[in-house]
Amino acid sequence: MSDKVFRDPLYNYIAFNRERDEWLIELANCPEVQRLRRIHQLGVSNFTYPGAEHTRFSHSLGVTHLMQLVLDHLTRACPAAKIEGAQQALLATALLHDVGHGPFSHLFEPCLGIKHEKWSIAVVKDESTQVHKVLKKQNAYLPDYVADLIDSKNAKHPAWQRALMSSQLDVDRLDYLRRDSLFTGAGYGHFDWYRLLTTMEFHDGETDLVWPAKSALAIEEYIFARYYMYQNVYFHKTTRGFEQLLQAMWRRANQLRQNGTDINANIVLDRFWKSENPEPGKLPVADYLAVEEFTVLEQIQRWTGNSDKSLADCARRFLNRDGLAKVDPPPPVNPLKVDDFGEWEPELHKLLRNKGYEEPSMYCLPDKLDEKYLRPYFEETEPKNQTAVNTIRVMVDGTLQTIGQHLPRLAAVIAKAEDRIVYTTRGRD
Amino acid sequence: MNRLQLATLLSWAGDEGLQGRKRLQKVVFFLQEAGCPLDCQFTLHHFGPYSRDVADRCDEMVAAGLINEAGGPPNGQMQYTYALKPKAREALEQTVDAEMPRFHELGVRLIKEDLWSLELGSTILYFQDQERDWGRALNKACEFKKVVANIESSQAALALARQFAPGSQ
Repeated sequence: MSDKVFRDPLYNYIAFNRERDEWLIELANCPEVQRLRRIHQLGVSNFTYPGAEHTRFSHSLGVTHLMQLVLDHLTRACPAAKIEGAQQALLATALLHDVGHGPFSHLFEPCLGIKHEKWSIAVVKDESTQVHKVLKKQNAYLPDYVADLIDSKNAKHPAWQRALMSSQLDVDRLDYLRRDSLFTGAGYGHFDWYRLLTTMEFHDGETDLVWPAKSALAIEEYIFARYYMYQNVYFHKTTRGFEQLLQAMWRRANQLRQNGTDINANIVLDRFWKSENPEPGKLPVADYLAVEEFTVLEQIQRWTGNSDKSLADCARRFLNRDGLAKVDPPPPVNPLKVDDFGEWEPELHKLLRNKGYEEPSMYCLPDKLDEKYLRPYFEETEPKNQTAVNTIRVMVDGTLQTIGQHLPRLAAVIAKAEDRIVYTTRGRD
Repeated sequence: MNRLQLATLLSWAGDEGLQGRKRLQKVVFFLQEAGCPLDCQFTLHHFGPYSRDVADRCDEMVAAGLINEAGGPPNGQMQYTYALKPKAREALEQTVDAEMPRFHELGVRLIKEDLWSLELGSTILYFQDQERDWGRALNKACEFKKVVANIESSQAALALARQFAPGSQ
């Protein structure tokens, strides 16, 4: 029987064995997974990089492929039975880890007030979803096992299993860094990924994972790739401007709705908003999954004709890619309050009002860059607490070292950065 | 946890400073459990609840010249001591956190608390958040820390944990 093959620009062939993994193919065909074809992997980065049209679906397939490769490697390195017991759960987790993403991936989460990880878990556990049915048919324990592995705080399963899916160096990151680099055309996400996957070793009674010293430079390359991608792609000022614009538009719509103004909501979003509590268990999974990018875009198109001038203007700007510009504020007036710029912000508001913008708060948007994303890697300093989940470690002459200890030059990029705040505003006028 | 919050907490330790990274972690954990909005994520580590957010904020403020870090292994001592530098003290005189003053008394008490009580007590409270049963939380914590539950020090830690449980303040 021939393999089920997906052509992929990163790996050429992603193949699922029809005899062994028929259930995995069935899982990929579930409506909840197919929905990921309609979610941009990088939110609105395609406003900056026109090629960034790739989706959560192709990423999820890529992660599953890498999981297959690493499991094959580990099977050769240790008793096969150890891997076999977790194989199905790990492959399913790789395919489903992003199944709870909403429109535009991460950037829209503050608009909806959701965390995609919680919804991924809900989709896997909810008996009404096709995903749940396929997992359960394959093995009754799979839905709970997969949900545990998606939950980054859950420590129920051995560190090596959690680390493969969610750690400082996991198959998720190995795929998205290279995929995002390729599709944006930015070209920063290059590193020896195959070496990283195929030199990983079991450690500590086969509960943990480490790398040999010979892989240290590949790890360094990976850390720098991540650093470059964040600096150049993920935190690109134009992209951040459109993210802020979208979030400001949503805040405005919510404000109007709460004041009793009719915002001409479409049926899907109206149902979502009326639920008031968009948490798994409160909002039905089907109602959450119905919120898609086309639902949101249709809503934004409706708002271009809204009677609220600011909402209509932001909607038009978003659709026409008429973005906001970045402005760097002065140093904070007090070193303990990094977001206090004294009179600078009111002055900026005054300037905008003089230019005819009735709602300056819609156009002067503080954008706090989450410090944890400015650091490509951070390691646990307490040796007793180190595992593959929180620290990348290499075996040097029989002694375990963190990659930071082994390559002290990495300190320059892994030290905690100061909080940074920039403003996006209508600066081109 | 932001700069102002950590600076406020360290100001409660006075000139001699707060002794030990472990103590800092546990004091923040207890304060957060008592309702102080410090927004730190804690996971269970070898010495009990541990937050990367706390460790990072402390390191960042040391690097920014706002906190003085003294002692520790480089100086042959077991513990680091953290105290505000004059620059941070002056800045703190210019501004007040909206929530922290309410927790001043609790904070001062925790800073002076016995370290083992903080360590075991915070572990009990961590398990209580999951178990919702003080008996089970005590047993799990004692098993985790490899100590006996029905001895004086364990009972003292339990009493401390109960005082700081959400809603008990």
